[in-house]
Amino acid sequence: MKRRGRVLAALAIAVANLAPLWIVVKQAFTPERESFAWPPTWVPREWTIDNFVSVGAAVPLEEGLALSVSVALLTVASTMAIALPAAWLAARREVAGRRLDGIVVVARLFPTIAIAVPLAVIFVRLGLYNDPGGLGLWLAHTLLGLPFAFLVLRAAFRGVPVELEEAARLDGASPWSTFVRVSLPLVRPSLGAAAMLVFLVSWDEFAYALLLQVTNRTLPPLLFYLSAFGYPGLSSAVAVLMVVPAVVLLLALEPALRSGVLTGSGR
Amino acid sequence: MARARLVGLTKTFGRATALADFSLDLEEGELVVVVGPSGCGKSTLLRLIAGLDAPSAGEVYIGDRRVDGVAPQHRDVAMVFQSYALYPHMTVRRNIEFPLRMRGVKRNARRARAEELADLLEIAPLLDRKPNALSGGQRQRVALARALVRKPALFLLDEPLSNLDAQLRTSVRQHIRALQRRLGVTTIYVTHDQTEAMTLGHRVVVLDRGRTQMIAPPLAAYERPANTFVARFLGAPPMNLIDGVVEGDSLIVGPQRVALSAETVDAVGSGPVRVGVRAEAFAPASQSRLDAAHLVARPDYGSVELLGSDALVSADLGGTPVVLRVPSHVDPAVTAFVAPLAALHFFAADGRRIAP
Repeated sequence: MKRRGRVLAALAIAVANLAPLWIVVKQAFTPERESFAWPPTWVPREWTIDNFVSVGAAVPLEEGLALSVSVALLTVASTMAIALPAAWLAARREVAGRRLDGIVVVARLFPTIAIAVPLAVIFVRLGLYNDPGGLGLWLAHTLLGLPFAFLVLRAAFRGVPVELEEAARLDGASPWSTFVRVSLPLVRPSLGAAAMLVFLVSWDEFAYALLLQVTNRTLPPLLFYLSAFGYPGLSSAVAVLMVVPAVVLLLALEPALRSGVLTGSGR
Repeated sequence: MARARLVGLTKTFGRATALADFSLDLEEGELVVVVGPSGCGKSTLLRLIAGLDAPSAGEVYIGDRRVDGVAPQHRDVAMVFQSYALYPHMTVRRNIEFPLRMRGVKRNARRARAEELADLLEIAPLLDRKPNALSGGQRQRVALARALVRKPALFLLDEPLSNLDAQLRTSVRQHIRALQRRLGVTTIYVTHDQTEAMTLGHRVVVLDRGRTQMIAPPLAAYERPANTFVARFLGAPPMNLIDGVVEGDSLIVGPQRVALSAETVDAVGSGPVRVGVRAEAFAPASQSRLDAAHLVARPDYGSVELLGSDALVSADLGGTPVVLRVPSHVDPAVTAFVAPLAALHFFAADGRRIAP
């Protein structure tokens, strides 16, 4: 009885999570008129790839994809460049750590949308608004991604015994060399996880993307327009396309996420 | 390989003093064991020498160079950590080569030297393994190899045996001793274990609550401890301490009265005194020796710890409980053990040694 209960619960969770996904995938591969059918069909009556073919004509898909990818990758790079030293410092220095905690929490207290509008105003003055390379959006996403990367990496650095770094110093390594050759390799799994997280934060981000760019759009606002203007097939096609890089990235990082590099230093 | 000199090293954390005014000169190739209970400041001492912490006062010299204020990587000090601190993401070979790599030693020279050390420490078959595939004893030896691979000026060991089981401990202890003598590297070895303190070093430094209690060759420290702390810390079981009074030329302990030599009386003066006597100083007494020249302990055999050839037996000496080390096969009919006056240590009320 107990076992059956657990199976049912697992099934319910799976259905609740996967049903909307299935609807999106189904809509992407069926003609528009079937998407509006009532009652909705679970198994498509008619398969098509028309949505993927015609979405490029409806919105600037290629430009959007390029911008989304470049902003997301740049965001990962800049976030890591800031979060790595900050997280290391927070893990190693008690007082600095507590201050950084405070800053991180405060930064997350305000809803994105409340920051996006004043940020847009500032970016207009700075010439970063609607930047073709998404420079302003990159900055905004970096701020958005930082807390996640910081928290994940700080926990990871806390797991690295400080004696390993001290041993490296006594073995003749400079502080920088110690960081690169000892500390960093030991947080590699978390580094992968943090990069993944930050990539997805930028990749899926909507509010800043909507308000900081007008004509040079990333994918989420394009998807929103298609959806809002009544093209469920086309918007679902974009959604399916957006899943692909995320899955590729996840598979690429998977081995790194699994490895237990920290065993065996001590007793 | 160099001389080393520590002058007035002091470390305070807020109001707490972890190490007070520590001074020590090490000869080239000398092995000094620093021993004391946990919290005595011995680990702090190593960290100050290594440069992992900055001293509040004092100076550190390695060779003729003053190094306090020099970054750890430029001090030419190697250290074996209590936890070994092997780099888990590197193979044994890369662990051992790491200090050479950091000094820009060429690949071939690095390989040769690492293999030399691996042979010396009998870990050559393990070179391509990662630390997590090694036993505790093997990790220990890798840590030693990594520390010694670059011929450091000064070699520091922080309780290197505390994570090994008892059998391994004895063999690794001998191994470290032989290795140190063979390589002639100036070494400071920190431990809380008095056996290691007695067996390993040329000299032993006894620390308690940050203060140096005694610096001497192990046997000298054992035979003539500078104070009651050293007397009780070195040796197992700890030295028996009994309160007594000197009156005229006699020592009075409970109902016992024994005659002291003139020199002892001169040194001790008259009044209360703490008398120390080692457990092994007692011998079974024949009736004839129960005289004014011996202290007499009456065994109650209430507690008997068999150690093999010897046994530790609880006894009473003039009203104070003491422990005797006697042959295991001693006849339980023996009702008295005696210690000669020559085996007695005299300490003042503050613990300082006053005679002999």
